[in-house]
Amino acid sequence: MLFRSRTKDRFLPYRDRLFAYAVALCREPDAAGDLVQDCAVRVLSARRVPKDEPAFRAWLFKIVRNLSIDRLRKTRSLVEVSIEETLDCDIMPVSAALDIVDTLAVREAFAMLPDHHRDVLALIDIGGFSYEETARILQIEKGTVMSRVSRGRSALSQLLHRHNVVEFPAQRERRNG
Amino acid sequence: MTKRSADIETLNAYVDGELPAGEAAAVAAEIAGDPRTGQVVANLHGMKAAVATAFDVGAPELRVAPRPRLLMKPAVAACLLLAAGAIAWFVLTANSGGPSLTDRALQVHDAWQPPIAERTEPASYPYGPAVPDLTAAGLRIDAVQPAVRLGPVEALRVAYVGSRGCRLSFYAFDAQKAAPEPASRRDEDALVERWSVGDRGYLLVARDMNANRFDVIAAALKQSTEETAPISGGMRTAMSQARQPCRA
Repeated sequence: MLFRSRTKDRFLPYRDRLFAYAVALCREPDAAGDLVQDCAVRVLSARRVPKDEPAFRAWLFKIVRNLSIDRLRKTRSLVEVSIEETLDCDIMPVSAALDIVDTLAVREAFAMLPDHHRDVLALIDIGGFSYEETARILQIEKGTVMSRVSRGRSALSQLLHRHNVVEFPAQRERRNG
Repeated sequence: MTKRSADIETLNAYVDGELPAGEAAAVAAEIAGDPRTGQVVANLHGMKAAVATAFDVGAPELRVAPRPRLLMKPAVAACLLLAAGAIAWFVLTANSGGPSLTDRALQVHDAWQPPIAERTEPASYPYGPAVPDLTAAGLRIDAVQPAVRLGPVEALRVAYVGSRGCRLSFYAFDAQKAAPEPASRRDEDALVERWSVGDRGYLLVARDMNANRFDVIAAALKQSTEETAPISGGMRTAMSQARQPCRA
């Protein structure tokens, strides 16, 4: 009982970030809540829990990711758009100051990324993992992570630009000028 | 791999704090000397922040405590099995009384024709805040029904129509009188979103509407009901941009 209580105390600080990660993966807040809930059940029922904190954090995200994959296999509904290879693509400007419209646009664009780009960006930008940790979680090379981060952000930039929901500084200047 | 893509990878690694000190210093020097590189790095920072912010929505409370692992004796297991069976029977029996609140709300929505008989002006809306204005979403109020029966629950219904046949029903009711149900439902052409704020329950239903458009309208109404305020300018813009024709 004491063991479970300690594990719960370790789990709770990661709950919000796990939920954000789950929303990024499966798009629907309700389903994401279920994923985090299922993750908590698995974690608190586990006989062995990683003692090392970075390993514990990586373990939590891995559980949510695996649960998300299981869920997507059952109810795959998102349509992926094909993103052009963006080796020579410019990064379109995106303001860091987001209001609700931009937030929705970013979520929408993020959901349209191919799985392998979304996977990597979600772990790095939402989970706060390093390239090395991300590589271990996804069982890929660190160089692959580096490449996917770059291509993923370029693709995201393209999608946001294509949707034209986020107002780019150049457009704003032209309009105001 | 071209030189350009390698540069972008390095700049991304710089933004993510992944470069060794020497390389990071070299990139910093390049940023200082080249405004275009500085702009790209600023944009990458913006992109990283945008993704982190977009999903930072706050997790719901954990609902149930997990069950501890038990090594049960067969007799105990048999008793638990019987008890579970009895509970399942009770639940099934209790729920066999008729359609759910959502099903009833969809029935009322589907019975749009013949025209709604009960109509009232928004000023007589009994639930406090104004009837939501969805003109930015391309929907106008067709009728307000102050007391629609959804089984044992009485609800206010606001019926909206679009210029090309879209239909949307927004219900407000006493959440304490309604049995809990899933918050979202996507059955073939039916779109349902249910939420509550305090003791007030809300239900939004539509058929044949673009799912993204419906989600944006639901998000706007959720925000509006949670803040007890008119739909914000940002949400109105989002609703306007999400307009799509319905599959009539």
